[in-house]
Amino acid sequence: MALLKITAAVLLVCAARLGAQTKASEAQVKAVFLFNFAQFVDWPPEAVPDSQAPLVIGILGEDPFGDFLDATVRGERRGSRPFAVRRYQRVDDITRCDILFINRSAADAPEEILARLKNRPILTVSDADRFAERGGMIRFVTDRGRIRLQINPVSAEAAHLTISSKLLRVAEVITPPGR
Amino acid sequence: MALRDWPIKQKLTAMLVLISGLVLLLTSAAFAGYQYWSLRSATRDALAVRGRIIAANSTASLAFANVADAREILSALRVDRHVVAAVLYDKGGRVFAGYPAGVAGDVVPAEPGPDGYRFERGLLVGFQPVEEAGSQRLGTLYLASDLGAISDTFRLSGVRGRSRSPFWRWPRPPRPCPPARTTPCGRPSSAPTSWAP
Repeated sequence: MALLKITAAVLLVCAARLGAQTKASEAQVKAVFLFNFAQFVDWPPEAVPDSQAPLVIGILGEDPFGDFLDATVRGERRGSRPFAVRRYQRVDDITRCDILFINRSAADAPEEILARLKNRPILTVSDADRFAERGGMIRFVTDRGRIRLQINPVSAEAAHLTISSKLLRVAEVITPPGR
Repeated sequence: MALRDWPIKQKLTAMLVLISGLVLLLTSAAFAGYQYWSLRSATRDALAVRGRIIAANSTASLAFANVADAREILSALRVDRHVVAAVLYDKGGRVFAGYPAGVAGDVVPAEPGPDGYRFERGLLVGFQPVEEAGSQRLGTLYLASDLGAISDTFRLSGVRGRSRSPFWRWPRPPRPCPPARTTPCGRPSSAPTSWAP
């Protein structure tokens, strides 16, 4: 009986570790995707104060990436612009940001956040449910162990962002209701 | 009659015919050589152009780990019957997607080689970087083409005979002949069945 209990405990610990690893890997892929978005999106000239200004990837709410996003962008550049990672707890804290990941916990009611960011040239990304339909620009969808993308090009256009057709090609394009 | 007993007129005629024949042979050889090297260069340039186009279209597939899209892009190579294999490697050098789809019995390099196009063991092969303009490298494209385009042109120009021709034949390039380290290319080893991008 004792042996059975020990075996069950070991199995539970292994399962928990495996789950944690999968979760970490998923966050890592999302971090890489966030970084890669910078290559497939063009910002309006007025959003770029100078050609050397860092391209800021922001995280609103709890940070699911740990140090991985910082490690991913370290030493990388988009043209002559280096990357920088900023973390925000409130929308009001966001000063200058180019790509904003809105954590699921913060994006339970994304409409309010998106309304505050309206018309600002910020690429909004989240894994919250129906994020693209609700006015967000890009949603990460986890499907059978893969991460797919949903993109709302209308929202991006409203913020004067140009999304490359190459990015649209690999994503599911979402048209908001009523359009 | 021995050569020394030929009349001088006949000797001169024979010399002229011999020299003319020799000149003709040398000129033909030079022309064929020039044409062969020009065709090799043109074939390499044409494959490099195709490689650049495929690579430019594959950036998002690699950046966002979309194997289906990568396969679709590679499948456009079916219009070129001389392309025998094409492979996209991810940033880590793992096979991401391959062409043709049913190439399971065939082989491709296990990892990317140095960038550039070259003739190797009867094939024209090339490794093309896949990168979005001004950004970091996303992966590598491998293309392998047979040399059928060259032999076809020679055949059309009459330099290389067909099977019934009594003339000299240009050596036919062998079918896919991979570099040393190879791996089956049926299913990509880094297909995102896991989280790996």
